[in-house]
Amino acid sequence: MKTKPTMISTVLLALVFVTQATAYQADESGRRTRGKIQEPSKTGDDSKKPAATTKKKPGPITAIVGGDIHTVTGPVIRGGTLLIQDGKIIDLGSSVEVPEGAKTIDATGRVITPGFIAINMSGLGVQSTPQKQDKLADALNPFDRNMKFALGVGITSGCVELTSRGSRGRRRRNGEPEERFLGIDPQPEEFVTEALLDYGDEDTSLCPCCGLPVLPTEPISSRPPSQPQPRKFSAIKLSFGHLDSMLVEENVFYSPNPGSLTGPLNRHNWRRAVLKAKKSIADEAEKQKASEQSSGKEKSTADSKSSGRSRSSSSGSRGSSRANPELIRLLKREIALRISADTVDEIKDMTALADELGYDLVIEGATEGWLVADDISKSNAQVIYTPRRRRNPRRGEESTSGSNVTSPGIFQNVGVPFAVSALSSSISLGGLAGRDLSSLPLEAAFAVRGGADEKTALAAITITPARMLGLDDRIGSLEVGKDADILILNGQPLDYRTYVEQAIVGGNLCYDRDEDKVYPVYDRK
Amino acid sequence: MNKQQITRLMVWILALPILSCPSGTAAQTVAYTDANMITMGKTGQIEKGTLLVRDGKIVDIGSDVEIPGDARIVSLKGHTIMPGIVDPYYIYKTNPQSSNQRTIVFRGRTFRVGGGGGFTVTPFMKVAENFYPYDLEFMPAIRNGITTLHLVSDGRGLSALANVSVDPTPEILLDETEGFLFVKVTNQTSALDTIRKNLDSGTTRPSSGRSMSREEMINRMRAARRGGGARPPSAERQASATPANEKKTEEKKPETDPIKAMWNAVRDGKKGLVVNANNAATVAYLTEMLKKFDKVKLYLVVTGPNVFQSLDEIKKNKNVTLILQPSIDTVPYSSQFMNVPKMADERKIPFALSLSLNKSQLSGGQDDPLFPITQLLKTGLNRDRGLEAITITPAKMLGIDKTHGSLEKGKVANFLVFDGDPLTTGSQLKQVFLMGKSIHEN
Repeated sequence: MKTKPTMISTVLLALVFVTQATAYQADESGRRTRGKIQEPSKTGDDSKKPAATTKKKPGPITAIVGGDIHTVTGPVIRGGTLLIQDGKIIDLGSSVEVPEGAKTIDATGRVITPGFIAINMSGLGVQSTPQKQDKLADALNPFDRNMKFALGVGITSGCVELTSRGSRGRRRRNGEPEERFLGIDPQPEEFVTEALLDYGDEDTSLCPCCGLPVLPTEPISSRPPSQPQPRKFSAIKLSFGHLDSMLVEENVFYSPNPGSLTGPLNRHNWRRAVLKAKKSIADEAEKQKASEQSSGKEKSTADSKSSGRSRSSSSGSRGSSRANPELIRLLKREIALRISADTVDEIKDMTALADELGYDLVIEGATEGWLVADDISKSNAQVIYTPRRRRNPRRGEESTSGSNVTSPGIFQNVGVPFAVSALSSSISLGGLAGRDLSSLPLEAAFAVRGGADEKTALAAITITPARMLGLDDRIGSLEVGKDADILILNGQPLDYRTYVEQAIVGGNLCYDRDEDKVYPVYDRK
Repeated sequence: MNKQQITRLMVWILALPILSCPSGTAAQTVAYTDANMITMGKTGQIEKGTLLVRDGKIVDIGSDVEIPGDARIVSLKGHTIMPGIVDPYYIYKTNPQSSNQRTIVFRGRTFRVGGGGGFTVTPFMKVAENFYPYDLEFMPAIRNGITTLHLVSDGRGLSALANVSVDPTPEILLDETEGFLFVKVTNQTSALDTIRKNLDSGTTRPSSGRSMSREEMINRMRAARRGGGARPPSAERQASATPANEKKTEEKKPETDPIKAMWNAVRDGKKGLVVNANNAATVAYLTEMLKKFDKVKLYLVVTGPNVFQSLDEIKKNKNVTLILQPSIDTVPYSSQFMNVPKMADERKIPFALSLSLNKSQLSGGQDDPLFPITQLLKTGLNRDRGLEAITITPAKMLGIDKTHGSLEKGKVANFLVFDGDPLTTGSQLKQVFLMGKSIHEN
């Protein structure tokens, strides 16, 4: 009974924070449709599970007290308290009471920020790139040492690209038979001498003198080239040692090859594909309406939505004429189109296409974006920018081409949201030179040097990439109901002298500077 | 009648004359006296005890055993006796198809094709069917005091239990148990599916049957009849059952496919599953998997560096037994040493040690085969745990603890004679006895 008043106050405080945060978010991202503000309680499927378990038996509470909390989406709370339970932030503020029996972490004099998000990440947390039918969900490695390096600079989640290495250098369609080198690949039993004679009529012939097959230099049977598949990006958390919370979401972007949207033919094909997908969305909506009318609107909207989607994919005629489900997600603005565009022309092309066809756009690179910042802003596109990346101007056009150090400032003034990405997406030993993924906070500091506010620069490695990924309801800021991905820093977040003291991912302590010894520690106590 | 059954029958036919006419050494009662005995049973350690062996079995053991008049007395003064080592994971035959390298014979010429890439699903291999009793491979095991082997191969399959012997006796393949399902996995979908699909198949059966319409069902039944039973048993059963009573028949009908029946037993926790986890991530995936299949008894073969970070997670599941290599490991990316068996013991995780996981150690060390165990004890592992992990724990795991794993009345007389305490560096393994017969002398 003693805890009741505190609980009520907790709920009240939570409400206050939710409304505050909502109000704040609305003016910052109101122009974006996808990064919609959602009730923190109304999160994805993954977050339903912990909610169910809390009903059964709420886990222990951890309290971080005394630190300056940079909420990113709200004001900085000096000497605030933050409560974590079951991997979620349950409360934060300057006058939050620590419940009895809670584990307390003293962060007096420390700075608390949300975990950083690397929008470009590779070679981390994934054992080997999954091939063929293998899924990312089965290829994660929660004990990857590189994760500690990333956590050591504050990266708690990121976006990994799954490259299709293709075992023999050629892209294969799903279900397409594997290319075989006759005489080398198939089972040895098949190669009895007599049977070999029959191979003459297939794609190979036998050498008349030695009897070995003459391997054709061209592909054994000519197949039409398969369409380039869009790149696949997935969001993972660097929850070291905790496999269950690692995979956040698969296919967070629709990312076609840059070349596949340029040129009249390619653009025609792209428009046609988009129109087809739009048609299938419309069909699906109609069907849904019909089914709703017939069933008497018994189903909840969420149920019918999912069933409608599965129907749309199965009812479409088989083969190539079926609309790509990822494309449908893109046009429903569930995910954004991520494409690299650097020059003025490329950026203008992409923004024009996005405006015409109606989808969210994330421009990667945008080295000359400062020249067309207004266009980018008008089409509500977002930018993935690397402040230290350079591009030489064309001779004689120094003022209208090439990179600009002040790009981040220009983006900020015009209102283009930008995420900062490091010069390299992986952790390398060259990290000492400050050019790999472990330089991410430093890269954000270079955005400050380029004229952006520190607040914007911090957002560029937290909430802005979270919005691009469509995961701003879970990560990217410190708010009640969001995932407890929290950093305890010993200084200002973008200072090059700052170290991460502790990194908490999903409520679990995944990095401790003194214990992990990723960055040398010499008797600090 | 499958091959295994035939071999087992032959084993019995051959064994009959030996069992029926007590002649030769088998009938002679031998008393080994004045030896220190590490029994691993209830009696614990016996100072100056006597071990009575007859017909390959222990007739009696203790400090005040009455020695029969006709018994041959062997004094083992100053020696120590301990049970024969039971090796819980002996990789016997590597499956040629599990390695990525392939040899292709082509018109009399051989080509070796080196393969890169990851995991390949290998064919199911029954070790008992490929067992070759004259294999010289077993010699190092004998020299190291290993008397009972749990034979597995690379890839996946059905294991077998064997006695180690120089001259193959009919009893070389133990038939107390049918062997265990074993599988080597890594964290890839295709690899993990070799376990998941087999465990899943029982729980998701009815859904596919129910969605079938009546016409389809009749058609399939007709097709099955026409095919003359060529269908796999599971498909036929599905076809013959009507949707209404399907579930009942599913439950009542015993599984006809022995391997499927074994997987069902694994799912229900009646039989253990031996899994070799290739890396640290795989261990995490397996512990996640056990949350879903909570009855599955898992025997996890894993190296120290791959498992030490998962021990706290494994501790939560009581159904996991570790099979470890007896060695001091280094913490990855550091120069620190760790004693993983000790760490497992501190968390009360049952573990067995397999001497043969390090084959070079096996062929190298023969004078004091327990040196790796001694190292573990020196760095903090409990002595009893260390001894149990090579004798009674693996015997329990393999379901042969009623006959093997300790020196007790009625058990098989598999024992080792050391010239001092086996767990002291410098004491030598002098003699290895298998079923009362000396098979190795040093």
